[in-house]
Amino acid sequence: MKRPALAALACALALSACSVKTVAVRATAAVVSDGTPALREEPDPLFARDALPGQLKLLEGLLRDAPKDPRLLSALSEGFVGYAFMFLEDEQPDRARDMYRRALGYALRLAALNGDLAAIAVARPDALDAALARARLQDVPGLYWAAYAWAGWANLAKGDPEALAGMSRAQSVMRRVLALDPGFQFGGPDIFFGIYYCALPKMAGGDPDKGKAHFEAALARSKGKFLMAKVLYARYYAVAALDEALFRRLNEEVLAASGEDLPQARLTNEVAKLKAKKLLEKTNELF
Amino acid sequence: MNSFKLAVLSAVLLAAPARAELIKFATLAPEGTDAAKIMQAIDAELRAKTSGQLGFKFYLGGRQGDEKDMVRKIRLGQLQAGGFTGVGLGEIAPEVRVMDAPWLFRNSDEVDHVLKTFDADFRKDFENKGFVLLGWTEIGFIYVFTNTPVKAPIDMQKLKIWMWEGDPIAESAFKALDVHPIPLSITDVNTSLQTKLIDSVYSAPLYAIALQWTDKTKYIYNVPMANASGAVLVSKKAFDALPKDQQKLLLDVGAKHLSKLNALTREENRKALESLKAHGMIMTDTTPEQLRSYEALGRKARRELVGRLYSAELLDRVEKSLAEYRAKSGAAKAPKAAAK
Repeated sequence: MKRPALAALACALALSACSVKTVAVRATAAVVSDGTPALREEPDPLFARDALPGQLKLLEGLLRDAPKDPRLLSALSEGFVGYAFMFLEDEQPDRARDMYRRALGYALRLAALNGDLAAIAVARPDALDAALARARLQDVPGLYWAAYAWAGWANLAKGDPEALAGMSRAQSVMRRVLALDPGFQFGGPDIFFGIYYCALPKMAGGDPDKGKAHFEAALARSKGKFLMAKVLYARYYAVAALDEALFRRLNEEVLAASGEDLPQARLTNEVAKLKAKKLLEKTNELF
Repeated sequence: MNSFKLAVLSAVLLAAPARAELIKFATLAPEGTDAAKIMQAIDAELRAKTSGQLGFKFYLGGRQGDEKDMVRKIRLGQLQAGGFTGVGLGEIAPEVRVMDAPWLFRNSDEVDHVLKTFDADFRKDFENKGFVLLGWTEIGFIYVFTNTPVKAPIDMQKLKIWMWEGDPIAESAFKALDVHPIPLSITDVNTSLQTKLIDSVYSAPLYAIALQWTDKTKYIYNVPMANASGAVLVSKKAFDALPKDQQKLLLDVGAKHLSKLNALTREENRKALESLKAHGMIMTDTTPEQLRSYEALGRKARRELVGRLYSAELLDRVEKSLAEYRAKSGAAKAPKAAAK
């Protein structure tokens, strides 16, 4: 007699404890993922580089209790792509590769919150296109970060067939994002295609002229204030086209510009300046 | 008088090799590929061992044009070295393309056997044409990717198959099969697959993925057409200009790293096939009889290329050496499909 009652009580307690925890996690998740803008606005790249791992680890912890929370998944996708791209790719490509892969996992989970997009990582090309056709504006963050993470991973693991196959998927996904929301992340979809067409060899569909048009389109969207677009324009288009004058001009413009012109992207702009400086130092190797 | 002496003195000083000249190296392989990474490792070791006196300057991802451009620029002295596939090797020393001959090899061990046995011949071929061999860098076994299943040579005749224009190897193979391919530049392949001008292509598995051809095809035919070779070559003129100790160092360091690259490429192609199968690509099976038919087809196709690429004498020696190797190594009497 007593046992079932006790068991029921224990159960109820556990449930309420659980729901209290859930509520707490959700609240914390909201607070922590709302902290993302603070990181984006950080003027000191070194401070951001040191702060990001702790922040991401905290978000990963929270995600365990709220595995489908879109804010957490979005902050994690963006955070891992950003960390890999801004702080690891140039000096520690192997770690960057792993972080991109981790970002891809979160971005795919985010995209899969819309059931239509649950199979985009495995669908054959026709099925992938059909699924993407059903994507809507609210699916953009998951798709956008998945495409960047895929491309980042493929770019750093060129001997890995699994990673390489992601490049074509990334391209299909980003094409949909470009149609849904071309202004996302200050023209991020156009920056993606700028890199894509300039970095791929011609025989794989590379076409520097197309890439250039995308970089120009991206720059027009931010009126030249999103400095990373210029750095990537220099690094991918100017290098592919062996245009040293353009390479110097773009990087020098970045160094001369104020990082404060776009407060929402202060951190990226400050990192762009660091990258521009390093690229200019490598001019003789590249041309 | 004094100013004359000064002029002579400064001329002598200027002529002295005070500063290291870098070997300008071009390849189609992009940044981040194993081929690029291995060349960068060679560069790092050379610089470390010569206090920066010997090293490479890299032009990756086709930044100096296609392989024909690269060969031309090396001959003009604008570049000193290149990483080449069969296309470039054919421009330089067509004889060595016996390594690419249709249906010649059954597996990578046989490839290694021939490379070892004919090492001196191939090196001489390159040197006669003004190049020094640093190492072989194969692309791998070439498979046919199709949209309808191919199980026998005759099925190939139904395909709208692409042929890389000017590719003598594919031409001879298709002729032996009585297949009429559609010759196109490699840059047109993706669009032509999309518009269905072609429905089939050929490539090493890893490249087929990288080129995004595997999204547009459904089947892999289990019988590779050939093993595509490649090599890193240095202009002999630039090589001869190096001090003797640096020549030896370049050869040793190059050979050491490039042999690792070959092993890596083979492993990656193996993984690529596995990954394609795991993602729904179907590999077609072939019966032993059909496989055997490639013995005759191969002999026919390889003869086609005599005089165009290599001599009958070289082909005979290579085929004989392979036959002996198979007999000695107790290779299966029936040819085996797929390279391991």
